[in-house]
Amino acid sequence: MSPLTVLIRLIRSRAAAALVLALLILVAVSLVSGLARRFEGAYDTALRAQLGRALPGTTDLLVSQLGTADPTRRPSSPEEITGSGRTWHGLLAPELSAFVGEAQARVNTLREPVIEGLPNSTRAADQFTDVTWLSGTERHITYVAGGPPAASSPPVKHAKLGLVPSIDLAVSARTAEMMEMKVGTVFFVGTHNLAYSLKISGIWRANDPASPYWARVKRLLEPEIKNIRHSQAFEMWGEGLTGAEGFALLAKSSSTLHYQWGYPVIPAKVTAEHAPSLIGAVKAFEAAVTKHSATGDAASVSSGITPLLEGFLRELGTTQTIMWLVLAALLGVALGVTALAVNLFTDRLEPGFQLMRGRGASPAQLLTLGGLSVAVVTLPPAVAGYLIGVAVPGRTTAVAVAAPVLIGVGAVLFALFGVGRLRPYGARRHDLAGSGTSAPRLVFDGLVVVLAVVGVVLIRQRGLTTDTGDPLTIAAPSLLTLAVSLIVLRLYPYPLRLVSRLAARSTAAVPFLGAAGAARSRALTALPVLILLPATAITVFGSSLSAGLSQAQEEAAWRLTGAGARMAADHPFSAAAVERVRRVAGVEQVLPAFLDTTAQLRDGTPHGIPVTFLAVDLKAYRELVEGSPLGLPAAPTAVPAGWPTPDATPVLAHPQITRLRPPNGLEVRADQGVTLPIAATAALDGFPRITDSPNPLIVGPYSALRDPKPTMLLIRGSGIDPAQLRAAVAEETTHLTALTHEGVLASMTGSPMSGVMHNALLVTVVAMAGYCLIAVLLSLALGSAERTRTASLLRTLGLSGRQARTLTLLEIGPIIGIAAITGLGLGSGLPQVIGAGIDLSGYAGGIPVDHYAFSPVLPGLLALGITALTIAGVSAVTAVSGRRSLGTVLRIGDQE
Amino acid sequence: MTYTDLAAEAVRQKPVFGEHAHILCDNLVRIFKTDGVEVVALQGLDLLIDRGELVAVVGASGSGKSTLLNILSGLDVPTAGLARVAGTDLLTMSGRDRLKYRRETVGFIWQQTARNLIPYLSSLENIRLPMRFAGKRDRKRPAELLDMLGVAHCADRRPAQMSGGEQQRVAIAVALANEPQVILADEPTGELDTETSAEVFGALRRAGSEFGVTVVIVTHDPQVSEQVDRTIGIRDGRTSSETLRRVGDSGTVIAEEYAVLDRVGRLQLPRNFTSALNLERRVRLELERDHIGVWPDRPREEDNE
Repeated sequence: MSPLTVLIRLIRSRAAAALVLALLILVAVSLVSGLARRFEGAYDTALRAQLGRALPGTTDLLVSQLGTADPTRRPSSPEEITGSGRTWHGLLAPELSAFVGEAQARVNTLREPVIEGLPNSTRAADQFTDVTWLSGTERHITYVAGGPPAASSPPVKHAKLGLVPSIDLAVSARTAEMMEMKVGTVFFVGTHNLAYSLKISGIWRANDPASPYWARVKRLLEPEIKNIRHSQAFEMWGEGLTGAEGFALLAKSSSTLHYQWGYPVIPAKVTAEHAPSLIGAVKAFEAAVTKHSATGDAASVSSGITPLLEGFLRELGTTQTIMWLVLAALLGVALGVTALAVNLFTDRLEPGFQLMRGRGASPAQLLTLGGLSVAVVTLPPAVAGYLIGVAVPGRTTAVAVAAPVLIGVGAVLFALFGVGRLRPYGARRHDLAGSGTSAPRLVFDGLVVVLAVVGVVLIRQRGLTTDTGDPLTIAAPSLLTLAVSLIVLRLYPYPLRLVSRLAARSTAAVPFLGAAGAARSRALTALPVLILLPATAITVFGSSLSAGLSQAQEEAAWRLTGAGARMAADHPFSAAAVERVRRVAGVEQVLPAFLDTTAQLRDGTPHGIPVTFLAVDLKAYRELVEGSPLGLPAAPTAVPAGWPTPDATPVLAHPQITRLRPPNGLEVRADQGVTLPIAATAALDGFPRITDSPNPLIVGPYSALRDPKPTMLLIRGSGIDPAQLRAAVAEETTHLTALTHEGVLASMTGSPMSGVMHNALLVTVVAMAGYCLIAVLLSLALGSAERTRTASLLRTLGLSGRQARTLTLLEIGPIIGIAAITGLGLGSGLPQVIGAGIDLSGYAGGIPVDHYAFSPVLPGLLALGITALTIAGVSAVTAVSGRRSLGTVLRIGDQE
Repeated sequence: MTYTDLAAEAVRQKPVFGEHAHILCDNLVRIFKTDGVEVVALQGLDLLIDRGELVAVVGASGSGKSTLLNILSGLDVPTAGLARVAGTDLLTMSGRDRLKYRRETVGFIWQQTARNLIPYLSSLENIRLPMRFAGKRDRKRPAELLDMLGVAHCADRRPAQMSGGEQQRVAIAVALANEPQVILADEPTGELDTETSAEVFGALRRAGSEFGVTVVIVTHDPQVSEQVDRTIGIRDGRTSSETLRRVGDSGTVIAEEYAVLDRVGRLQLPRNFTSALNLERRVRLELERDHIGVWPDRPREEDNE
């Protein structure tokens, strides 16, 4: 008989308990490892999605150099430009160069006005045409007329400008159409001091206009039309391509040239882990470029990647903190359930081990046997769980590796602890009362409570989403639940003893026995309470957080949109356009308003104050958003007494404005000749964020304007397509904002990080709910033999089967009920206690999430599930024990 | 007697109490303290058992016999007194000594047949287990033990496949595995019928005679006295009586009950004797030529008449 045989027989003899343990280890390890990997993967996906969703070209590293110095020293050929590009690339830090693609080099003139030669039947006030050389154009365009710019063209003579150099230019079909150019068209650009002629050599189409190649050179595809402020006029700004010769000609002239090298960052290669080092590397690159160009034309680096990464890291900080919270809670509860399962396993091993101890096994031999048996049961599922975790797409982190080790080692340690407490058979006297609580245990309990309180105070003071990731604050919610569990464990027998005393007065025996049993079964109930309470608390906390986030996103979407949909433009909407908007599917009501983000408030100072002025019928606006979470302030009706200008219009204004009390009153000056004396005394409170302008907002009545023309439309309705709104007014305006509440909400909830957060909370809630139910089942299984013996003994005294069931329910029910109810209460209270420390505004458009909704659905379902499971379990246990012969049960259980 | 004689008498070595006893308990006291309440389980118990004796310790529930067994097993430590088994002082044992004691000096048999054996091991494997714990490897001994105890046919059976008597005899073999000097048995026949009990006692007696093992059986069944050499009665934490079993001239077994006189001359009178004569608080003693007479402190009414 080898020790291995004993080990295998030992495990096989307790196959059911071993199977439960193995399954729980498998679930726990795969859950924690898988989630940790999934989170990391999700962070990477979120970062790539953010990089991918950024406007094309905005995340490129752009080196710009204004070539104004000596024309003989600046690059004048494609080779020289490419060479400079390589020089800049050499300055990239290795951690950055790995993520950077091939450079796109560009040289262009700076907004050259068209002097003569183009028809301009569009009546553009001004026309500009820039000459551009762009690397790699031959791969991205196809000529539809004419051909590439010729090697050289002879100078052209102009009546006023004299003999000017001529450069061939190839333009896009759209540019040719809009600026009325044909192959062979010759026109003059520049200034009278430095002019040159451009000759259209060919007309092309982009092979793929949506390609990122065109992202930074959109004017090459289509001229830009700009409205001229405070007038109906506009300007048209086109751009064309020239060849190496044309570029050399320009470079040698004295015209100012703009050199650019764009290095695209390849999203697929970037991971969240790299984000912090990338920010540093970009800064280092900026410094290196500045330093390198110190002797010649100054070069600078610009890129949208730094703010994007910084924003991402801010969001990541919050998400990671919540994920840490979730993983810590999950790991804690998983360890607790593992301890419970190990307890169940070692409990079943106890008689054999006691006998072995009595037969001369040393504690070390039993510890080895117990530890090995649990290790044999634990190791395969821990490895399998890890492999399942590895199969989850994502990136391996320390937590993913540590989870199986922690849970596996934890299981073995629990087993060693359990086996270490065994006494030889016969040494334990069951007829002696147990001793009181040990001093070390009291100190431990006290320490947990103190740490939990300190952690909560720290969270409330400093917030949870700090960069430092303080382990105490991360563990604080779990510690708090543990502390409450320990307090419940200490206090719960007292009310039950009171109940048992009351029950003792009644003639019914079952309630008395049940209450007395429940109040005394402390050792048996400790672990289930330590699991059930934190698990229910974290479940409810997670669901509250998730529900709070959803509600905050909904409210934030309303506040950012200001109505079901909102449209704003630089130019007023015509009555016909408004009518077309009214007919868009889903639109129920349209409220015209006037918005000027660059209005001026005259307060007696020489320059006044820049303000945003909104004129809207507040009463109609309030009706428009009725039923939404928006609470609009009522319009002020009267000018307050003592106001310097009694005939002023009462308005709502930013607190910064309402504080003003100039002796001559206030006056708003805005577009469309608006001049409105106002009395700004009522503060805006909870007004939607209808503009991104940092200028303080003033909201006045629409009716106070003389002949107002709407520049903003507030729309009531649902299911509106923003594209249709744009299409309805497309002919009249170029700079248009069209937002719908659904669209804004979708962009918030659809953000990859928000998805990660919601999924993580959902998984946690489901896992914790599962663990709650497992804890109930295991607590029923633990000590079932003892309960069966007691019930059998009582059945010999005349206890009926039904009474036995009630008795078991009364014994187990109170502690499970107390744990579950306290857990539900604690979970509902946790958002109030630590919610202030969790900054979820990043997921709600920057609007702080300051209140968490309590949804009774999940706690209700959980409570229902726990109750149903307890009753079902109790019925099963009593049914099984009822089938066994009383004599057998009593004889096997008899010890003395 | 001169002063010199007295001095010589004082330094002369007297035989120590129980010097040659295999099991010795001298004025053994065990007090349990729980929640401030003291329970005196043993109140100065004296016990002497010689090597190779087969002794039963009997007593009612609560008399202190389980406490005595736990002390002899090395599972419990007395509050005061002396306890020595096979030369091992049970009061001064370290944890390591205790383990060695359990492995080499004593073997145990408990009442519940199923609890004596590991259910998932065969009889042979059950016997090898304590040997393995003690680091011994004697391949023949387990089979020899089974053979000697008449359960060789059970070698490869697991406990569930054996009768109660077979299980207890295998348990005796397990207890003998490491060649102990003492076997302590707690109600070893408590679950068995008379016939099977006799088999088990036969096996224990054989173990005693074959290996010279001292066997102590703790039981509440006074009938056991018929099966053992000596029965020691315990009452209220003290040894109260002894029943000696001897074979008479006619070949019949004669069992004679004696009261125990301790070293300071204390004697426990049987309860039925004291109640029959209404002996209370104090008695009158008179030394006669060959015995001591015990009378109530006040003559009874009928005696006066």
